[in-house]
Amino acid sequence: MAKIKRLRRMQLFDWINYAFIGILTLMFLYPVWLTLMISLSDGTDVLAQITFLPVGFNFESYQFLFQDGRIFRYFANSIGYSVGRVTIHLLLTAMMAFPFIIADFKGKTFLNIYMVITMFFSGGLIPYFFVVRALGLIDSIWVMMIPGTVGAFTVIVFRTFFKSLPGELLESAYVDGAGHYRVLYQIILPCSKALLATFGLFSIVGTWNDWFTPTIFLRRQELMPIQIMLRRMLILMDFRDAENMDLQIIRTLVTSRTIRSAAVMATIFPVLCVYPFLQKYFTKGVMIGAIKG
Amino acid sequence: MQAKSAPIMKNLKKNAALYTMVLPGFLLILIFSYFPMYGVVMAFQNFRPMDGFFGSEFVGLRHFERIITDTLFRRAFMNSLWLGLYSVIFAFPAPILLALLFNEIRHNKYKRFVQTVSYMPFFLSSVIVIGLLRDMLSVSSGVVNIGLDAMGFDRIDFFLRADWFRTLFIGSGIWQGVGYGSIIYLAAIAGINPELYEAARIDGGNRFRQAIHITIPSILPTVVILFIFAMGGILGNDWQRILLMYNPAIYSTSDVVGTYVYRIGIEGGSQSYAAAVGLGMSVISVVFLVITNYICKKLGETSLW
Repeated sequence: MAKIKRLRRMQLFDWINYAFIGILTLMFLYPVWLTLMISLSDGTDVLAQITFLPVGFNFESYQFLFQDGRIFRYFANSIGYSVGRVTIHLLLTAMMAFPFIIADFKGKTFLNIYMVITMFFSGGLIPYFFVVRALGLIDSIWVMMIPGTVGAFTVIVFRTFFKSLPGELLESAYVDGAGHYRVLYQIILPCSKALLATFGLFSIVGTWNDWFTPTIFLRRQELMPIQIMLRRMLILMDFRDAENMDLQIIRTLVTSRTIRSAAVMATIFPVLCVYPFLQKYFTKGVMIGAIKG
Repeated sequence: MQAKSAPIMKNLKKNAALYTMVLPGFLLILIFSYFPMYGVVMAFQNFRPMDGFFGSEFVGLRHFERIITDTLFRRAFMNSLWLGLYSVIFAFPAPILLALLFNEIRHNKYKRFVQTVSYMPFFLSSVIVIGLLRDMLSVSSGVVNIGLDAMGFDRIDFFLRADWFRTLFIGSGIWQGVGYGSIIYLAAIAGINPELYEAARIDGGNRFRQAIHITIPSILPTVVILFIFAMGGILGNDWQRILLMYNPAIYSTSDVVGTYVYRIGIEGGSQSYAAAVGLGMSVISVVFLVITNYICKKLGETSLW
């Protein structure tokens, strides 16, 4: 009712607001659009000024980027880390949260305090680094998939969500003689798809975008994820991942700039493809978090 | 489930599965949260990785004494403070304003579209955001400098200019986070009782007055809570993003405590001193949080505790 009433004649304020928001929206899109256009441009014209449309048109930068096989390795590593981490994250978080909804479980208060303390105190970067190092996790794929997978905040959200599920579901399962693990995997988790989707997506995007962990903990090139390649190209201007580029430039239409842009587009393409569909889950995730906070 | 009074051993046996369930999480938190907390002892040691946390020699407060005379630390601290203040002044209100403007859009399709687009930058990695920024600001081929040139101004090498760093940092931070940050305020706005607006309209309040007298007071508790957190993080900055932006030529404005600790502790060899600086900063941050919380409690009813 209230909604309908608010749809009155457009006032001057509305026109200004709509236009302002429209310009903002273009500002959010423009850098990505520009990058796409650069990646499609001819690199030969060094003085070319690309502001909105490509100068020339070709896919050579992409061909060039993918012709050196290493980028597939980086992509495979990123996918592997994201999938591995999200699996461990969801599984262990659900396992840690589930006992909290069972009346018989002793130690709820202790575990609760144990977790909440970590929300307010931390050792800081340097002690953390040396702990990870002492555990022998440097240059290990596990450093990308294990540390920080179980956090107080997510466990608390999972716990709250599990509590909101109808209790009769559990009771009937226990009456039928199901064990705790079966109840968790066959009753609780199938009822928590929205929760798992939300936190799963957060985790996947987080791992996909993480450049800091591999920067400090990984040395071996064959373990590096895609963000490390991007950081070299975009920030350090280091083109070791596009070998023989100087030679190639003479013959082809690519430059370091068009390759850089192609690399950005190749990395964000998967995110942009799924983004419109997954967006509602992210919104939901903020809401779930907000209720708790 | 009703065996509340059962002896502990019997309970353990019956619910052993529950205890094995929490075990992995318990251990991960122990190892990756509590071990580093213990590791803070390195700030009081002459820590050497081969000797470890238990074997290194204790030196008391020597590293903390060094902080006081360290001019590089002082510079980093002031930079952190300035950057944090600018961030609270500019970046903190931005999502609130955006949410208020989104709320005034009355065509739902347009609203959904602009919201969806505004969240998008949040899902790009910092490497990409800073990479795009570098390209757009490049002296020779960046759009911004092409524009400056076309309008008859001199080209600016933004990433080598210390006076531009803060603007770029705060600006790119807003670009990346403002849309996503508005979600929480929109949720708060959605929870406002429509009858309040109804009543205001009957009293002849126009939309501006409705926003001032109904919307803003209604989302104030959310604003205050997030403000307290923002004040607690005022010295934290988003220093990993700074690592992607800064270079020695602009350290005078861009080197903050986080980057300084990273540089001397992980890239350089002063681990113990870096840990001491990090510990000092955590303490100050908690103090900021407590003071802000106290002030908010005095001024209104909303506070963290």
